[in-house]
Amino acid sequence: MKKSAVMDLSSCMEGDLVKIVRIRGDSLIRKRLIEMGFLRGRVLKIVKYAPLKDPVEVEVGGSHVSLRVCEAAGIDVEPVY
Amino acid sequence: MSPLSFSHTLRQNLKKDVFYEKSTRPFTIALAGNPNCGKTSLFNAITGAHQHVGNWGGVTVEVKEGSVTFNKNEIRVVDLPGTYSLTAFSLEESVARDFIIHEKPDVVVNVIDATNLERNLYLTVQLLELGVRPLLAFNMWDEVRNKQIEINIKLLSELLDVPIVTTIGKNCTNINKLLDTAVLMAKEERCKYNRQISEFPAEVVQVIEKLISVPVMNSFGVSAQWLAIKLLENDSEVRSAVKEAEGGSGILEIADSARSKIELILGEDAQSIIAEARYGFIAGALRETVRKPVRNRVEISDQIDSIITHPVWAFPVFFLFMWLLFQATFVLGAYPQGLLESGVEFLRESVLNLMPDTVLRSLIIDGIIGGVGGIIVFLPNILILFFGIAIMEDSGYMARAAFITDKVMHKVGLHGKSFIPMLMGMGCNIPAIMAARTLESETDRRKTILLAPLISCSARLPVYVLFAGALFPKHAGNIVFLFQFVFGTLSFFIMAYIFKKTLFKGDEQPFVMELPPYRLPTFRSVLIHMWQRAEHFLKKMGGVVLVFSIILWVLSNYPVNSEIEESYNGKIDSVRISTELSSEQKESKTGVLESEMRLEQLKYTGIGRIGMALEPFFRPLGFKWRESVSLLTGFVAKEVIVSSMGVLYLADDSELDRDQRLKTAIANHFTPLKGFAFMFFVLLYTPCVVALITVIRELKSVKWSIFSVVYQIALAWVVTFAIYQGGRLIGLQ
Repeated sequence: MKKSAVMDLSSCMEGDLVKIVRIRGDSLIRKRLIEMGFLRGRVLKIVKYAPLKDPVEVEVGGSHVSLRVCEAAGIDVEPVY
Repeated sequence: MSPLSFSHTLRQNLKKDVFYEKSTRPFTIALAGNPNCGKTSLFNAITGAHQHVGNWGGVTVEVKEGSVTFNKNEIRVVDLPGTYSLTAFSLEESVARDFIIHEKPDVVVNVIDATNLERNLYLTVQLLELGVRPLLAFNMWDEVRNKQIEINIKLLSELLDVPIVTTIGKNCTNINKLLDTAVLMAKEERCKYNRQISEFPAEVVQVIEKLISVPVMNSFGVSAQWLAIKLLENDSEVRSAVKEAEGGSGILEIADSARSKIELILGEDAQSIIAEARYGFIAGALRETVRKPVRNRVEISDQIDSIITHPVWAFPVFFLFMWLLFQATFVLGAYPQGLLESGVEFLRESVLNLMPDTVLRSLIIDGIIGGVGGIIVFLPNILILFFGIAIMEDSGYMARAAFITDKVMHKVGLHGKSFIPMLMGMGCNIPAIMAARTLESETDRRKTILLAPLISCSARLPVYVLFAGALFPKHAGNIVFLFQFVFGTLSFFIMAYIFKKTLFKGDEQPFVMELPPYRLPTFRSVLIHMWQRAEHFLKKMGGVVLVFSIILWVLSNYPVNSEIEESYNGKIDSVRISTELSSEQKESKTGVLESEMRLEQLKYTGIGRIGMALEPFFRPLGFKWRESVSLLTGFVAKEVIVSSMGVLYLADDSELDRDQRLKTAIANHFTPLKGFAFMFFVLLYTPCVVALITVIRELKSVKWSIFSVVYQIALAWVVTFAIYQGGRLIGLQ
């Protein structure tokens, strides 16, 4: 069952460390994410969810970025152990 | 001139010479960089107060320009919009890229947040691809030292083959060195970059070389290598530009088939492959030059965030800040506002005393002083509001405010940052509309500007107070509260939702937003920021509002029918000389006659005639000509409705018990239902002429401005109609 470890970013918990597998989603959001350093193989940290549980703050390559949960759902990740 | 056709508006501006001719300005330096890299503070450090917001017709993206004389060189400095990239997906990026391509600034200074080199250098790589050798300003150097990051500047500069100067924008460190280097680069023309960059996979390099070898590719006036990369990235503007050129479709075919081939071989889309190559190139350069300490302590920003975005405390803190901002803007701002008002009043009195009673005096007092005075009284509000907003933006709080409110605003298709314009609208719509500038995406900003006037401003309060007091004396407080705070906000959200589902359907902007580390804002930068808004407001508004207030003055005073005056004066005189009446009776009779005369005169003026002509439009809402005229005068300012109702409804012009008599008159003329409907109309239609002009100025589009006026009046009409006729159907009075 190792392959099922891939999940989308929106189902991660606060404090999780994950590795980016793939970015889906429409081209505008994809492009913005890529240029902000969301690249395959990079490690993301889920810093926290906003008080109303949307958006979510993640840390990637030293910067903090907030994304809506629906945008985060387009990012496939796998846990880092 | 290159035949590349990028953004349309910009091209028109170039034709109109909105940008200065190069010959008159020896050097142009363009500042490019990511958002939050300290670009603006560096710009302020370079230019000081010598700057203004560039006038780029049709583009709502702000481009600031400034000038500085350095070692006898006059240098024009342009602060390009902050961008992460140079693709054409957003307006900011288009503007930045078009400027670099078409204006060909002598030097591009690429401002870099040196604490976050990897992501900041992504833009640098794209500049290199474009054939531009930028001067890198490694900004926030103090933070680099504090964080004990070691950067081998010399080696990094050699590896990238670009000069690097370390700077601290907020205290002007190394600004002279930066300018020195820039001037040197410009004079020696060392601003071209011809090397192959990035570590693209072999397949990509092959395609790029193949595309470059096509002769047409070198006829666009920009680097052929850059064009080739953009074609592989499927950049829409470059595509359409190439398509227009001769043999362009052939090039597109090559690029398209190569792209699918590459994607098939490498199993990933071309955009990602290219982005990864760029980041790979950066990582390679940084591996040898940067050493970061292992992070073993919680950063200050994280500590602040543990309260600011705390699940429970975030909202109380947010509302506290909003309350402070609101109080400062409108309560504290009321003091200087009062001073300005008395200044205007003093000027009025002086003119009144110094000039003979002529039409010219009336024009100066009511048209000019009234009009200009009507604008400058908003100045304290705008100064304070933007002082607060500048602090919130520069400190990093604004991004957090958007972070915590976005869920609510996004439900109706808005952005977290739309919250502040919405809230400020409760004080006055004018600064609120201007506050929409804090939104980065044009669509979000447009929506916010269209919606902000629906929030009930404080000028509408006197109307609610009058009507609620006259018609619902037992529930006056509650009714006023509902109109002032609840109905306006509700219509804001409902209309936002309707816009989301109709006009702006599918126009969703990505929210992806950086949460920059908290930084202490500098007083200087906040002041400059505040002054720019104020200056913009005064300059852009002054002329137009003046013209409008003169037009309104003419309409509300002309034409004059001297017969009315003569006949009433005759009647009044005959009352005065009458021997049968007591002096008390005389006084009351002349009062009635004078008020009748005013009414007749008002009916004769332009505004009176238009108001009466509009009566059929208002009839389905239950309004007659008096209501129609008073609503029309509300365009000057909503509180004017109350004073014009005095003229329209009161049979006696004396000041005695005026408020109470006006209430009685309202109660006689309006049923509760009709009054309720009237209050809704006042809430929803165009706030006032200054707000209207602010909307037009900020939307910068004729189409959207017309839409803004039409939709508000239509909305007011439909809602009022539904309330009035619906109420009658269910038997309300």
